[in-house]
Amino acid sequence: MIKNETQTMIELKNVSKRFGNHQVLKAINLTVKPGEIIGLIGENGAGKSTIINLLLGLLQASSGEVSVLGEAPAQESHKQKLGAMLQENVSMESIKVRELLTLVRSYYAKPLPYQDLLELADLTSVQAMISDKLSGGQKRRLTFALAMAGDPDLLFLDEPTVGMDVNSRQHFWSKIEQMRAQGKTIVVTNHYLDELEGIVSRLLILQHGVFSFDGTLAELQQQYAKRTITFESTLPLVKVYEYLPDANLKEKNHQFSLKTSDSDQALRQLAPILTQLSNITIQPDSLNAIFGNLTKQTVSHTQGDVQDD
Amino acid sequence: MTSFLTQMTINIKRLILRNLGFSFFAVGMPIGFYLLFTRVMVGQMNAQAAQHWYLVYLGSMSIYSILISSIFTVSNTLIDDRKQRMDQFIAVTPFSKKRYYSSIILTMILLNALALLALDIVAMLVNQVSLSLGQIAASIAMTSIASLPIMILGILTSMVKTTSTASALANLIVFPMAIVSGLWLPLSSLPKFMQTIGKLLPTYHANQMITRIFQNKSNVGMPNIYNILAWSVLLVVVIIFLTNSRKRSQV
Repeated sequence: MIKNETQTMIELKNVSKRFGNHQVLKAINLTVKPGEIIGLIGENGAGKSTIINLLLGLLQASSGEVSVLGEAPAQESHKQKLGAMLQENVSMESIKVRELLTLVRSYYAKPLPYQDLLELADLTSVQAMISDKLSGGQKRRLTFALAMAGDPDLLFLDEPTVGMDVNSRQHFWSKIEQMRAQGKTIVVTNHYLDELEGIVSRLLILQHGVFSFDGTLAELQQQYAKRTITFESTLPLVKVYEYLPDANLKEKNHQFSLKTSDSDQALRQLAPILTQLSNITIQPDSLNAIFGNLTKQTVSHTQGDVQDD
Repeated sequence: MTSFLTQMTINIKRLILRNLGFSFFAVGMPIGFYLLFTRVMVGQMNAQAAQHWYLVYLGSMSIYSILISSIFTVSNTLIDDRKQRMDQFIAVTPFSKKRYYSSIILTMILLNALALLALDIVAMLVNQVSLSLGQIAASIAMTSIASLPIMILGILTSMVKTTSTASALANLIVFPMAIVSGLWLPLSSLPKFMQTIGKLLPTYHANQMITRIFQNKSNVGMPNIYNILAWSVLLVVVIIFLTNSRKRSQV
């Protein structure tokens, strides 16, 4: 249990990381409080895993200050409270799932009960199998169980559901949901933003070595989401266009659709002809679409910079 | 403590009980060589010379067995753990790397003792070699110490960047080392420069020590012990240097 609620779980101060000439992280700052569920999002190679590896002490920062539970990374004193599911799966040659779980549970002072661990990662049916003979999805689940063996307060999950089938994914996220309710602090990286909806309390988007967004999902939607308005009307396209001169308006078989970042304003503009419209719907962008737009934006932005030079 | 015992149990399972390579290379091969060479070489010997050769070659094959398992089994285990990300995982758990390595070394000492016991039993049954319990115990205790620098060399081998190079390197170390330190054939049958190199190697010194135990000679052979200690220290220093320079280069 975390006694001090104001304690900081993770702190990064001006942390930079270079691999040779390649600058992956540029003076990033981050403070994570107990109970936060952080979704760390970015394209391949953005540096998500680098951040996790820095926090675990598997990599050293080029400059800046990294602290975990108020200490430098990889201190024996806090490893009891830490769990990590890294990108690559963990198994052991010639050793059964049951044996490996028993071994790793013995590393911790207060491990999760063995049966709980099996249920948590849905491993009951494969516990007698040799761990390195498991399928990719099963190994992923085993890796999750190993990360959870010590009942950690702070959990790192690096692309946890890669290789899992749909059922396993659902099972997995429902377990994360439970952990959130228990007040665990979790940092999770993922490719699919949609999976994180309803799970994370805070979203960080890593682009070009810095956090281009830091806030809640609702804030992200408010800031970046476009909405799609659709309606039916017998009016000709040019007529509707008169009311929405700057909208990206499309029409096919009297079905109109338009994308806008301000749906309220668009509706106000349509007010005079509202009686001639029917079946009006307003649909917000999916998180994946927002993420797609966001990355495209910065790409075109950087290209613009290059042209300016 | 329980975590160390559990780690030992797991290591015994994967390194000894479920490891065909161990039975074949560390037990089968030295026994096979022993039987073959004691048959081939004693042809023209009188009974006394033959008995002497049985003992001397038992010493050589004991050290050969230690060399094979200490390099191959140690480096293969560590390479497997690296490939299967167990080493990285252990680094983030409270089980320290120090305890991880010492549990492997302890398991290896047990494994080596079993292999030597099997070899001794074959020598006693087939060639009527007479060994007292004291001699067997002393030889196993002595080889446990002598295996340390060889195991550290096995750890060093596993640290090579790519895992396939590490396996190849293990082969490149074991067989030349066995030949040059006079484990397969007497050192005197090798060219002079090889003998000079051979006499520097820990396996040569271990062989000298075990032969003395088998021949019931009472002198300890301090130069042999110094050599084994010196190799252990030197190889540990190399490992520490390599680990630190890798950490630095990565910043």
